[in-house]
Amino acid sequence: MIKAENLVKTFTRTEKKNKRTEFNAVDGISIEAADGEILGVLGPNGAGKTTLLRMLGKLMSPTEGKVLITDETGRELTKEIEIKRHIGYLSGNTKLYKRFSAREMLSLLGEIYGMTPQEAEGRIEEIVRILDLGAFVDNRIERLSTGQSQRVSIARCLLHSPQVYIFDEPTLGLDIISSRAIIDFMKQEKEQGKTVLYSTHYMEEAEFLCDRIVMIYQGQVIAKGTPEELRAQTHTTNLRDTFLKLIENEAQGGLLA
Amino acid sequence: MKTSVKMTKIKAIYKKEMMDLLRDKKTLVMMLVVPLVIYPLIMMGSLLMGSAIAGSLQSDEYQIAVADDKAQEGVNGYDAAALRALLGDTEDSLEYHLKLEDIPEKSCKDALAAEEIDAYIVVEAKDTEEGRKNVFTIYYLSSKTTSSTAATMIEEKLERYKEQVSRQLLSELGLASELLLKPVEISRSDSSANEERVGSMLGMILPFLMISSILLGAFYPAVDTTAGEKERGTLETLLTLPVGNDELIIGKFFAVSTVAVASAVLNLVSMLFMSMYFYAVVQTDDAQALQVELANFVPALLIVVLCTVAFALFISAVTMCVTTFAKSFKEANNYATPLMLVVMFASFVAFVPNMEFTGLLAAVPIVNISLLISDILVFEYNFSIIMIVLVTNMVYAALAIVLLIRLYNSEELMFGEEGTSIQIFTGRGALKKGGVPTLSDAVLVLAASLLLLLYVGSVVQARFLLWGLLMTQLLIIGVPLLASWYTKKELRETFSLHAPKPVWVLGAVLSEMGCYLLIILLSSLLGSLFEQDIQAVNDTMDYILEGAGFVQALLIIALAPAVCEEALFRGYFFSAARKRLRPAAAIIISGAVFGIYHLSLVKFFTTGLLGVLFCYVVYRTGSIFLTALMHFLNNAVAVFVLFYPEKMERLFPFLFHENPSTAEVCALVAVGVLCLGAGLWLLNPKPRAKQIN
Repeated sequence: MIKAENLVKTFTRTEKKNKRTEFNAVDGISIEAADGEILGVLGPNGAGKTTLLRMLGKLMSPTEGKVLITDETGRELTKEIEIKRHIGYLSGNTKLYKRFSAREMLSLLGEIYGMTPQEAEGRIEEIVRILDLGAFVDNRIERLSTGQSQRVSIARCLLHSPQVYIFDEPTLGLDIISSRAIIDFMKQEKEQGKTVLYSTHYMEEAEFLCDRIVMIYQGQVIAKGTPEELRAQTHTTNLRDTFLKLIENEAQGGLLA
Repeated sequence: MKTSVKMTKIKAIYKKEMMDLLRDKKTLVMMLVVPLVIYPLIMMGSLLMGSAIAGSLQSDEYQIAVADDKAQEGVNGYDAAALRALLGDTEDSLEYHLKLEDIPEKSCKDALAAEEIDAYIVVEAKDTEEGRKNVFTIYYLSSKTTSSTAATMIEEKLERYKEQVSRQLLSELGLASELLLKPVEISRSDSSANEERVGSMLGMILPFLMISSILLGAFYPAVDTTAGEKERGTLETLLTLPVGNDELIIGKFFAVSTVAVASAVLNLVSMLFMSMYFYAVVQTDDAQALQVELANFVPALLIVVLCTVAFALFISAVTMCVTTFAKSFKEANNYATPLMLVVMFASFVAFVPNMEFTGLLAAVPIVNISLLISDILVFEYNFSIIMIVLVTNMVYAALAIVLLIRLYNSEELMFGEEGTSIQIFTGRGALKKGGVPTLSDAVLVLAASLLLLLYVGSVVQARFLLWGLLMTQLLIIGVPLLASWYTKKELRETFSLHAPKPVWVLGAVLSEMGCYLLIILLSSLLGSLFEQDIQAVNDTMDYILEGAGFVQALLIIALAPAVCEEALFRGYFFSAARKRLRPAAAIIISGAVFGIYHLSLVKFFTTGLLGVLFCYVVYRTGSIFLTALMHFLNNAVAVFVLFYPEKMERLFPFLFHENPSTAEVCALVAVGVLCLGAGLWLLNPKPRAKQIN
């Protein structure tokens, strides 16, 4: 389970005449994703999705609020390092070490996660089977195709068998086959009782995959619920229209206020 | 238990970084190719070139001519035939010989210009105070090596000719010639041990080479593990791992210093090997040259290796600190340029003859290693100093690591937005108008100015004295002006050209007075620590001011820096720093940079302090005119003291006391602080808010 309570992240922005102004990229967001659930985080560019996910993944510390994570036994984790050990984090910015082969990189990372070389080796074999990496696991990562390296990225997240996955636009720029592999992977993990937090711009994908969705706009949650609930709420027939309508409302509301 | 977990993680990070680094071509090239290929090539090249030059000189015969139409035979023993015979003589021990060409006197000049002959002699009878004499003049082209050599040889021959004539004249007078010609025998004998001589030669060059090679060795891995990781987008991956920043940094640091040490040791070995080879070559050439017992160098070299390791740790940590600020290799290069300049400049200390290596200097980074290596090679072991050097280097490295760990906590640095921060290298058309320079641009401009100061400034100052100083100042304002024009910056913001309020002027003058008092006290305090340094600064000033008038000096020493240095330091650089950094950091860094720019240990503290004050004033008021005024006043007082010391002493006696009493010092400090405080209070920018409403 992963839970965010009233998260706020303040950044300073330098504007004209060297004036530093503060703004909240994330402005009081509370969300929760249970074990065995896929929670979609949607919102337009600059809404604060990445910042929110970074705080949840303990890459950034929140200005206010806190993040709670429980492991598979329901025990609450408090230490940052312990939390990171239970999270698999993937975003467009988590690139791979290109000078290594996938196997080398995974075994080095395994050591950092505290595995013995034997443990790491066994786990890598397992992952190669699950994700079908056999054909290129010993090639240098710089020589892999986009889809192949995205699968290695997933292998990286899977390596330490985390309880919570945080995926920031994992299918961005991938072809249908590669996206499909990732989507299938998320579903499998969900079925095994893992928590998946997932942001995307592909509405069809979210509609098909997510148990629940939170809609974020200008650092705040503007709507949440199952895809069906959101559609009903906005009287739309697909999530794409739901999204547009919600944003439109919010933009007008913002103008009126 | 916990430390062992930490150690395992550090080891894992270290392993990952090492593997990563060793697969990077740039690191490998810097580590292996420079010591193993470049050095030997340079050595071989210079050897070959040396022997080629020597060979070409030996084979040459020099064409010369004698023009003695205006000479008078017989006057002070002149004998045209004897002179010609001597010049053309080939039987003596000289390796080269001269060939006399028969050229009429009129065409000698043209023949030389056309390089038909290498040199010619004009002999003219002239009336001098001692009577009528034949005067010899050698005409040659100093721009041509062969011509210069020919001239030197003619001179040598003429010396013999002189001796021959003297001998002849003396014997005509019936005197014993030998005693009169050589009344005193002078010869030199060097009593340094051969090892010391070789050591002192090595000691001049080795520190510089060592320090540069360690820096180069550390540089690429440092960039690769910091900025490189950002550039390749793996930093965020790294941050998802369950490791603390301390473990991460320590692991990275050890990887970088491993490469740095390895490259330093390789360099050292390569250099040693080369010098042994060189030595062997020289030995065969000249048997009596140098008898050196290599075994005597072993303990010295061991200490050098130890220091090298300590220094590699230090320089790795510092370089990593600097490169962490960069987002890409290119940017890191720009940040590292000033660092390299400072390091190389500091390592030049070993070239300063008879530099006293004291306990205080032993604590100054870079300088201490440079001096230690050069001292050790002349066998001056002082173990307490060696210990200080080793310990301080470790301490500085540790401090840098602590700083680095803190830097990795800064989310702004880790996740900072991507953007073209170096605009100077961007096509001008692509740039948007307005704004202030980026920090990268400012660092680059600063480095360029410093380079110009070092290379052009020192030359023009030596050549044109006071006017040279003015030219240097123009260079200093020229670079930022050019850069802001090119990057289309808003000049008003970049150079903080805002009119001050009248009351601020008073505040500026007051705070300058206060600061001046405090700085005088500080510099007299420092003066007792760095006496030589102060003397050197004063001597340069006296030399430059020679023959200059008061007004001229006032304009060039007080007014020009008040405009030009302010434009660079409080204008261009500070605006950029203030945009990117927190105010305190921007002020302190800009101040320190201003201190470093004065290239003197004493002045670093005093001008650094002044720089901090000036930046603070610009920060509060946004007006560079105030600091220009303050800077002018500050320098003008110095000019007054230089030109009218007596008057100034009568007016401000307290500034001139050699040994002020404690009461006096306290009073001055109190007055200084009071003035400074009152001045800064007057610089309050608040009331502006009302105008907006």
